[in-house]
Amino acid sequence: MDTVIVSSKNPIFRFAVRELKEKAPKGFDFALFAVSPNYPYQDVPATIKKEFGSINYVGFSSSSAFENIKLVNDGIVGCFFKFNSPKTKVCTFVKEKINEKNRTKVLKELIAFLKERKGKLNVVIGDFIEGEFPILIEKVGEELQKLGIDSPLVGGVTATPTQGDKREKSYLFYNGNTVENGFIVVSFSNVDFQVQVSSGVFKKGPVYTVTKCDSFKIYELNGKKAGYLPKKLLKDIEPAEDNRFLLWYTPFGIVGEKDEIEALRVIRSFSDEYVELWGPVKEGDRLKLSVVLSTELLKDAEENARELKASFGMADFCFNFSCLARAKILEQFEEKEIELYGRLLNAPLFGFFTHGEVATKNGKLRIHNLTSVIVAVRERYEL
Amino acid sequence: MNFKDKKLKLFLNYIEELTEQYEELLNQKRELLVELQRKALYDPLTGLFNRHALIEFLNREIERVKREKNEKLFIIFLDLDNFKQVNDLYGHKKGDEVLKEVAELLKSHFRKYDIVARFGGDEFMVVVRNSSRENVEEILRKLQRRIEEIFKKFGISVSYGIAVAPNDGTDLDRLINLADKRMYSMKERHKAKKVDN
Repeated sequence: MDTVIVSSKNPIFRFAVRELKEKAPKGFDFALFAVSPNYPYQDVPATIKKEFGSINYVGFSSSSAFENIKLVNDGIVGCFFKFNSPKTKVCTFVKEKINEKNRTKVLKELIAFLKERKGKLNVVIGDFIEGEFPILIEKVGEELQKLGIDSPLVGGVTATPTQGDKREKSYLFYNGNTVENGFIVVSFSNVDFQVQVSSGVFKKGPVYTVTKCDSFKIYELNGKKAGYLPKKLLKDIEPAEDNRFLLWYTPFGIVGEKDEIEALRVIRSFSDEYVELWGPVKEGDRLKLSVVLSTELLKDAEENARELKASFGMADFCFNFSCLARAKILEQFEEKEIELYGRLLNAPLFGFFTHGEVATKNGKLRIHNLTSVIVAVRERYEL
Repeated sequence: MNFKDKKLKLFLNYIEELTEQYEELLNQKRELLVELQRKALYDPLTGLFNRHALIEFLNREIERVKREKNEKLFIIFLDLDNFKQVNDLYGHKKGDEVLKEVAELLKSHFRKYDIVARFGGDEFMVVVRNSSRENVEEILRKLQRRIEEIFKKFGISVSYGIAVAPNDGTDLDRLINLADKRMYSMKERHKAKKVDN
């Protein structure tokens, strides 16, 4: 598999796509595009068609995407795949207009697709859809566990800028179409791959039980109104402006049966009554309030990359889905993480900052926050 | 406050919360420990020491008697006469009430530092230090009269046997057996007296 990743920050989308075309390899088989939400989304499929013709691609809104070891803000990043084996194929599974009513139907269809694509590399990119997508992923994880299927799903939730509590709308694109409120699974066959999930939060911390919640909103912790906790953490921190981002430094870890952290949750907002998270939780969940430092994030990312390199060996290409909160915490080192992935894994890297990562950790597929999911991919060659 | 100071303050607030939560956890652990100790040492029905606690105590006291001259330890074995009838005729709930009342009587007749324990069923044991046989026997007679008086309608009395360390030896099993045997002699006497009457 030959992979070329290129970018453009030309503010005129048509010119940006043209620049990409000039840099793209001839006769590629498949492409992924991370498109800044600053570009007019209505023009994305038509512009791609105009410049590239009818190609097989998937695109998605993304404020910050990775072109190898470079972070590209407010531009377009294209990842072009050319397969060396005729056996290597890509197929897509697209679902749109997902809501509470059709959630069960979508879940069934996605499970059926994943059962059929068992053992393949299935990369999912989804819109947050007011929490519908993270809830769906959690349910997929539960269902797959019931069925005894090791989850082959990995990916991220698109991240667009937020204005106060509101997120800018994000879109997905594929082969001339625009998808609203949906997700796309890109399924690669004839590839070997390995996934590593890096967090880097401190393992110790006070543990609370969720006694009342509604998916993303926790109303009670240990039987007490949950709003007290962020207030206490932000006590005497003035001015209060932007303080909710400060709470990204104190994430919750969902504690598993063996006392391990199964998934992290970052605080999104809070009031006197509740604490809202970027990922869903359930009543009865035990949450460990942890703390995180940029140095520890990088240390853990490096350990994971080294582990991945040691067990996987040479990769043709790498995906990286990294939490936006992680970027915030890394501060001036936000590019350091992709830089060390590139250096240690010695492969082209494509990815983006997410509002949630999809990956299997400790045998459970879950939606994560504050993690960096790295996937090493290698095409299977025939002798 | 710049962002660096804000972060530092956040971590300090986090540590404060961590400390409070751990203190709460520690308190819960202490309470649990006290509860477990209580369950391990006390009889849940009567609140008296249980057999396990009594044996622990007796082992320690016998060692002390062995070390110190002129020390005497009175081991009293008590068993209720006709208690079975209460359970059979009035039910186990009533039986439990009787046992609880007897436990209170035992505690009130002996001193605070004497050990009163439920040995099992309707069997009790009292361990008395720093006293004389005369005093111990006088208290036991008083207790016997009181029990007969209170539980007259059930026909309940109490038989007891005393073993004294080191006079009767310092082997715990032997001392308990001896007190038990002496208690049975009294019980037999009570039975014979009842038949005569």
